[in-house]
Amino acid sequence: MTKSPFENLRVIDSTYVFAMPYAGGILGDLGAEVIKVEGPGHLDIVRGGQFSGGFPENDPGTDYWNRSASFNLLNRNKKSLTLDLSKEECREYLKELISISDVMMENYTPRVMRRWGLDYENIKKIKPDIILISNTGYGHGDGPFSAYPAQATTQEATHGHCYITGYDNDIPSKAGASYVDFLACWSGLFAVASALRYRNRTGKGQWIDIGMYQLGVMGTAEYIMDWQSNSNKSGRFGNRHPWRTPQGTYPCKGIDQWVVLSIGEDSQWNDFCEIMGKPNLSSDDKYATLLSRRANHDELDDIIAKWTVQLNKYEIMELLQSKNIPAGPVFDSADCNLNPHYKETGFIERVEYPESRNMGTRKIMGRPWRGSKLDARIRRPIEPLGSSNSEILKDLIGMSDKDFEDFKSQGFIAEQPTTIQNVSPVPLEEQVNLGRLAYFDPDYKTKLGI
Amino acid sequence: MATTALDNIRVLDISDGISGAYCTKYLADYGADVIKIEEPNTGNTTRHMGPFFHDEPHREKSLLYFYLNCNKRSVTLDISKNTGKKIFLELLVEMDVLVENFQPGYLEQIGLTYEELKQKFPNLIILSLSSFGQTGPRSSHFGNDLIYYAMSGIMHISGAYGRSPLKHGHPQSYYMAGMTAAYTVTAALFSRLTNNSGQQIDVSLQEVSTSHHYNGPTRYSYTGAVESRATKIEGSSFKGVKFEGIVKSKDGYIGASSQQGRQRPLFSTYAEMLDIPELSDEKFSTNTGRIENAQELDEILLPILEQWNKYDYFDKTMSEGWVTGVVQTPEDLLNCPQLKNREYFIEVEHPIIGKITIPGEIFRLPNCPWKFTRTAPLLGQHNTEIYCQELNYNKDDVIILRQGGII
Amino acid sequence: MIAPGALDDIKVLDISQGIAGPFAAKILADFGADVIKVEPLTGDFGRTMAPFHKDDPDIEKSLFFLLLNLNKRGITLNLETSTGQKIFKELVAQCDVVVESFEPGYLNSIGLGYEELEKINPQIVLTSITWFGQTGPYSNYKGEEIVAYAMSGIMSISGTADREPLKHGGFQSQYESGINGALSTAFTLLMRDFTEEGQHVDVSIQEVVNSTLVVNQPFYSWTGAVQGRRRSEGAGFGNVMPCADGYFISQPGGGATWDDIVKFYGNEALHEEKFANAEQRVQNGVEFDGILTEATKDRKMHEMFKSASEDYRMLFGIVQTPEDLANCPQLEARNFYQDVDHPVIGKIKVPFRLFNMSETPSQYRIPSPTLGQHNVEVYTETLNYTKEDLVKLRELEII
Repeated sequence: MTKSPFENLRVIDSTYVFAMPYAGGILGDLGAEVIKVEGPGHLDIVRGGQFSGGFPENDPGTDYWNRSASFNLLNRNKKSLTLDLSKEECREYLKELISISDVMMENYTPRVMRRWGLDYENIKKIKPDIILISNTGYGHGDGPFSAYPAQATTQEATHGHCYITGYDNDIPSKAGASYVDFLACWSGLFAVASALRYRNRTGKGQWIDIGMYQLGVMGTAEYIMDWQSNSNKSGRFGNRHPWRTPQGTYPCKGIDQWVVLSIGEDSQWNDFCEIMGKPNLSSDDKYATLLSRRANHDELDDIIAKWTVQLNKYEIMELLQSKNIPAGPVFDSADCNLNPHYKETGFIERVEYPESRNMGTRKIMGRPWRGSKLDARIRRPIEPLGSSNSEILKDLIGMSDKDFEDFKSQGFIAEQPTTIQNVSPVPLEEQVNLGRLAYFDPDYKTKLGI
Repeated sequence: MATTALDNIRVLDISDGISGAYCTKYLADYGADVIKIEEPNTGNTTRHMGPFFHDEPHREKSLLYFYLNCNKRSVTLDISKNTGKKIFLELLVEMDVLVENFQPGYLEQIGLTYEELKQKFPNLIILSLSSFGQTGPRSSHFGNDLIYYAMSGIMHISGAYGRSPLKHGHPQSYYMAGMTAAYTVTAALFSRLTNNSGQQIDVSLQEVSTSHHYNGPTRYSYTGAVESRATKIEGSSFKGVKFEGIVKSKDGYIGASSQQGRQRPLFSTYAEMLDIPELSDEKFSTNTGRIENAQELDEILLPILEQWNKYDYFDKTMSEGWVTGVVQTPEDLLNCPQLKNREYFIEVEHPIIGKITIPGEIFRLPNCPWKFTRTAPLLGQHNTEIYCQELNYNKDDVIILRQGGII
Repeated sequence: MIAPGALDDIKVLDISQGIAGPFAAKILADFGADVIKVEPLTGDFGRTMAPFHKDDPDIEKSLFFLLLNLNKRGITLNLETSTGQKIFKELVAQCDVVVESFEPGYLNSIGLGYEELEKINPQIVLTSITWFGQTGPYSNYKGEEIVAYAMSGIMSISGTADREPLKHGGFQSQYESGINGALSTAFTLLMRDFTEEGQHVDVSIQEVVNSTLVVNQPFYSWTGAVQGRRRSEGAGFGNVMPCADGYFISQPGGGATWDDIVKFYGNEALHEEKFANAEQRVQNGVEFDGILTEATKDRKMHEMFKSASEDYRMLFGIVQTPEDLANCPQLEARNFYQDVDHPVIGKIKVPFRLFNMSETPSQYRIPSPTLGQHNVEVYTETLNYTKEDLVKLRELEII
């Protein structure tokens, strides 16, 4: 007996990199059957290279393409199907699969999908109630940028975030990780859920057309409004706040240890001065009111830093939070992984890999939300490349054994990349020495309990 | 623009409620520059009291607030925070008068004292309105109109004998206190002309109400007698007779009476005017007689009075020298020919409410007349104007103060 | 309404304040839900957020509030009073979703927690968006944008290694969490269609931001490695560099060969071995930066963007300003902006369209509400109060 509307949902995930694959993985968490489709000569780049996030114990093993940490996070739960979609014969089988699926996800350029006859108008003919999600840099249509190459890093400038991010009195800056991909992922999930409900009510599918550019622009909306109404051009102010003062990032005891704090109310300022052991500071004319603190923010930062540098970052958090002052340590990825708070919320899940995969037990982020009656969890790791080729093409769609072998010999379907790269990651201690990593924790497995 | 009485006087009104607002209305109406300080997001409580324009409760549509606050400007400020307190003190620098009705003890709680204010601003007149005064065992108690009225002694003698004491309609104690406060402020301003110093005026709402009850306490202190409410209808006081009270007319109520000025002419004269011969009977000719025969008097007279239209009765009797009353409704007042002739009402235009008629000048001072300069302010309407032009803040400061909840 | 709304069968009570919750509720409204914003008598504190229209910090003129609260009707209700709580429950009985952002435990303390709401309406979906979620040792810690940023891991890798960690400008963690609030609500509604039961949805802003660290986070748990911030020299590809009238970012890849890239910058030195791969470009960063900076010092942003993208198929970005974005032809082509006529602010253009849906597109219906604007409408039509009742309720400070 079906327990959820996701159990009978079939999703074709013909997408690459971060945004849509992550959405597919989360649909899998809810129980949908998600089939990742890749061409053997054109695998998802997250399987190897700079976006891979490392291999288990930094060991690429004999099948590195199945072992990338980021790839396993983004694509969990999925079945893996290989098909070279640049070949018409392969597209015909994809169309068969579309005809028995509910959702199709793609992030090819508009030109390519039209050329392949896989744009919405065409696949609607195959399955009238199909829900298609397309994700591109600028969205479909005839806007001047729509055919431009796009990627989250360069787009972060174009969609306005660099203008508003940066140290005080310094040039614009990027954030340290890609951003707009995730806005696209989440927008896609919202859209799919809404489209499925609409389809259940009316029988109609639809086309979801996401352009990452405008999602990023939304995050600077208030600045655009300010420009429009007030001709205000101001942009960056480091770690400060439009009005809360003091706010900033302050050094703590240890190497590269930091805490952030943010003080708004005058009463919070008074409490903070008590905590710092400087009660007289609270009534000092230079800092007693909101406006005077703003005028003397630089001096304040110095005073605060002299205090914070003596203490551990967690200690500072506890002291300030005990007085209801927003404050918290700057977590690095070790802190995040070991965060005691996540133990209770269950944000990071434990995923057991079969012995044959030689990947041990891994800790993988789940979802930042939960429903009290929603069964959402990582159900299984993504299977090795091409594991479902036979099941899907032969059993489900009815491809003949002969055609199957034929496709294999032509390299249209496979269980390893057409071109196997020579992957030999630099040892981690060396990476630290080269300045590419901050540090390496040899006890990570013990600490994580894996 | 014609100069008027208080043209050069600057008033900061941080009171909330009716009495302070009514006090500063008098000052504003006669030329004082009154700046209200209101709570940042909801403003004065009077903004949330009916009646409302079109019965729509909204902070800019209270007709009570509107009436009380024409001619004033409004800023928002939270003085309980350090930053707000500092700005409050900056505002006081240029002020002649501060009107407040904080609960006694509140200023100390937020780190200000009257001593500090007097020391910093020796010329400032501080008008402190409170329920029971700044001192005494009840000074920290809370009060309201019902309580002031009850504790003034007037409630005890209002209403009918045998029934519970009756409160006056409309919260009059607030208005009495506001009016009283207004003249104490002008007295203090006058005093300042010669002795060059401000002072703190302590006005207790209960005392103001009590002071309007001149009769009862005096009588008790001289004779020990305690007045009570009107006696029963069948009783022995002249107040017991229904006639001489408020009686029904055809289209409302009148205050029928057989008095002319301070004299009482022969009752038969009254009966003749109304053409009721039975009432010329001997037994009705004296006060005692009318009381003893009250029931019969009422049975004859009242049904006849009920046939009269109220204004017909009023106009006829008044023009023949009798002292009668007519119970006028708000609609009657708006149409009153006497008030119209005296140009009592004025029509003004408010940005949200639109055109509206309100009472204007209520007494005439031809050399320093009543002045209308602006309708009641929108909440915080003058924040930017006052903080940037009169204090030294700039636009960005004002925006930060708003974000920080200070204004 | 020209087209149907994907969520036009859904009624939402939005009792959230600030950025994340209101943004989530707005997304539901944009796609057809009937959203009633329920504010305390003092108004959503979001009304105090800059920027303000014409820099006038009036309670009705926050432009930030405007863009986060389009398409909602607005009522006031004092949930701290038992009468207010009773009225709220009357509304809940008729609604499908409640969106809130109070500190965990607050709704329980006023008798409006999920268990209570479920009794009134077993199908209700309560979506709670908070800094750290409903459970765990930090759940009642005070949050702020910078704290969410710090405790999610992203700050430790943002900025340069020689300086303090750097947060993203604006309020990204809260925009992100708004979208997560909307998506988790949508999935829960899908579930509810199936089971006819509501539930409590718990969104944590800290986790939302952390979940974007899809490279950084697993790096530690799979290998023990911890990344740091980049070096300040050797910005090279992938970081901001100056040009004549602004700044740009450039990357290898896209549809460009290395030859294309060298031609774009017009300096053959880029063919040298020492710039052949990413690692070497970082090692020789100062020199690499120098070549790029020299090549672009007289070139303008928009011209380079067009040329790099169209002629050379490069991955290229320019640091656009709010003014550039307000005038962007691509955004116009995608109908990103919406003309709004607000009762106090007047006519204004607002960022609106997040993405397209062919059958059930997002649609603009009404501007953000003035405080209590729809009190009379909602209380007399949806519930059974009379206008006289409302005057009394206002005097009692219930509405």
